[in-house]
Amino acid sequence: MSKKDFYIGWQDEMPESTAKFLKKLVTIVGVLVVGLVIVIVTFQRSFNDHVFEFGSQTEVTGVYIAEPYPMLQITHANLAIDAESVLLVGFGKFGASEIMNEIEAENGILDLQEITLKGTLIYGDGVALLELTDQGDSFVRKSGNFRQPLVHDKSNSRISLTGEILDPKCYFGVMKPGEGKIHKSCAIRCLSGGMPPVLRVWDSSSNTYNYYLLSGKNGVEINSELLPFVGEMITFEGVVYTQLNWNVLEIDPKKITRTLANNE
Amino acid sequence: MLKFADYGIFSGGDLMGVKYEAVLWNRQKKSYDIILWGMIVGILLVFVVSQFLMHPLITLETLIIRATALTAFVLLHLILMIGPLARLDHRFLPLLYNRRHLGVSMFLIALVHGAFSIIQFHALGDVNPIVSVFTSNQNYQAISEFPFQILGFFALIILFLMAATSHDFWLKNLSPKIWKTLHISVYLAYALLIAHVATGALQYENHPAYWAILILGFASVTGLHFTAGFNDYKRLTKEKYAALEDGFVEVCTINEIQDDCAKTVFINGENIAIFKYDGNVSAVHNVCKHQMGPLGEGKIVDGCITCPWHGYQYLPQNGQAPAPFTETLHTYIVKVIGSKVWVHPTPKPEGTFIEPAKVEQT
Amino acid sequence: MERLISSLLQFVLVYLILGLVFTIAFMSKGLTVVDEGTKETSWKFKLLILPGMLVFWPLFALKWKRSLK
Repeated sequence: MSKKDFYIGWQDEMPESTAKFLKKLVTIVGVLVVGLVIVIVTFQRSFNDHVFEFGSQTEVTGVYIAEPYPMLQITHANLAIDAESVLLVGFGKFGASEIMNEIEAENGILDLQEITLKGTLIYGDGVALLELTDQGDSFVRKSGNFRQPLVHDKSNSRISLTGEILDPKCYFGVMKPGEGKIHKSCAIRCLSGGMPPVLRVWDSSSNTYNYYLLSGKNGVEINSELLPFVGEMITFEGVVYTQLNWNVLEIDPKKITRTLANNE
Repeated sequence: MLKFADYGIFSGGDLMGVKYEAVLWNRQKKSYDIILWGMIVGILLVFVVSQFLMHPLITLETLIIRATALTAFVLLHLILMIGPLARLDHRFLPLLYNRRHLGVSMFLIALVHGAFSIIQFHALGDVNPIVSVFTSNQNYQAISEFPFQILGFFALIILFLMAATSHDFWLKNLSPKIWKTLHISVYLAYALLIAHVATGALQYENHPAYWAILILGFASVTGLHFTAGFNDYKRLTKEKYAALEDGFVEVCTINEIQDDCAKTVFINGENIAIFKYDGNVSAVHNVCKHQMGPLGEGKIVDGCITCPWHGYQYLPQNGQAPAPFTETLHTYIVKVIGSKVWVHPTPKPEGTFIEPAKVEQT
Repeated sequence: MERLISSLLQFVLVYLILGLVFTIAFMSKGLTVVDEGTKETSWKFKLLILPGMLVFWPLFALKWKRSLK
């Protein structure tokens, strides 16, 4: 180094050569960093267009169906998407079962009855959910109408599917991304809190995703057994049936196999 | 004489023997911080604007988590590169002078990232969010599924300990040895963060460009460290000194030392800086008491040896910091015979006065 | 696992709270005894070293005790 340029921060004047060098350096670093940021944003995976109507609550009227997971068969609602049902979920990382139990403790059994609930809508890819934001206070009224129990045809419906277990609340609108490795712990937390597990399966013939609600045999909750497999590519074998606009896959959680694939 | 002073030297505001200040601001530190925070705001702004242009569907939480992650990680790379760059080229030294403000700023940004991520992914659930960080994903067997949050969590704790102890009060009260050890653990934090990114974000955002950038960043940091280390090693092994009578060793000719500068030598494990100033020659231990900076790469300013890192000062004749400071260095006996400089590589007790050798006028 | 981490977390919390209690007492009395450089320092300086104090307080407790003897 040229010792004439020796400079220590507490000196009042910086030698001109040092100042020049630093100016050049800061400019180069600045340009490089800006370029880096733009490159990083460019190659990012794009986000889905799912919606969480955070901050605004909507009333939805429909027939309450408790099994396998709480949902409403819509009779009156003003939704932005065309869906036959809304899946009910709790506030934060919880399912809606306990909230519905609390509501039923006050208002009597509601299964198969037409009720009105208010909450925050979550929707995307043809699926709608309602977050019971005010928990027990989400119940508005019951109309007195009811419907016959749903009948499920489970004959000849054993299938094998490979996909990722998601928590529907985050995936269908609350978080972006609500899938994959980064979100994995959150999905585990949600399922652990009783959120209905959803299996997302890529259908290469139509280039779309198909979604399946996962449950044990006869609707038994198996969330805790699914936790080790959340957010990974997993192959399931089970019995599939249709309930409203949902596919439900009944599986034996002891017979799950991991599949080596990336989390696309 | 005691400009060392105006006490402006203290990067965090150290004073060994003088009153501490929160930050002893001076002109350099002010411009340093203005440029630093200008850059931080700039990175955040470019990130936010390009996200809104290219990915308008992004949520606010994701925007905050990613913007702070990227900014902190870029700053950490810059922080780690400053050390070896300053060893390779002295023009980088002004960046080192106030590096701790860079470090603390980086920690604060990383803290926002950590806090937001823990709230976003772990709060409002059925267990304590911090417990959830450790228990939600327990798949330690597969690298691709490894619970990467834990790596980030521990890195953040290390960065916290460093930021919390960055004031020179801690250098004194923890002892320089413990302080230095604690602050060298930045490399552990860096390794944890590389793994945190590789097993976290890059398992989802898996475009090859991201891997290329991560590897390039890591290669730049390690490459610079190896180059700087190799340079030092080469310099040390090149120099061989034969001991002569009375234990004195001939080190160089007087013309090899520039005025007000030093020649550094490594003899029998002794790291010695030999200074020439005002027709005198004095030798002291080449390691600054503050943060072990290389005194021999400094200069005589206002009659004092001045460390190139943070400007700590010592009198060359006795290795003592000028009052009211209390640091002292080992000194060594030197002789000038003809045009040759000789040094006795046995250290005298710290602060011992040694009559400077006179340069013979020719 | 969950219980182990919960109790560890509680231990850390208690440690930090003890640290805060100690630091408040220490800053009003012991700090200037242990390190003379802290005499007449500003509240800003004390705030700056507070986070570290919560972690390293046992060290200062020891130093304070030694200085009393």
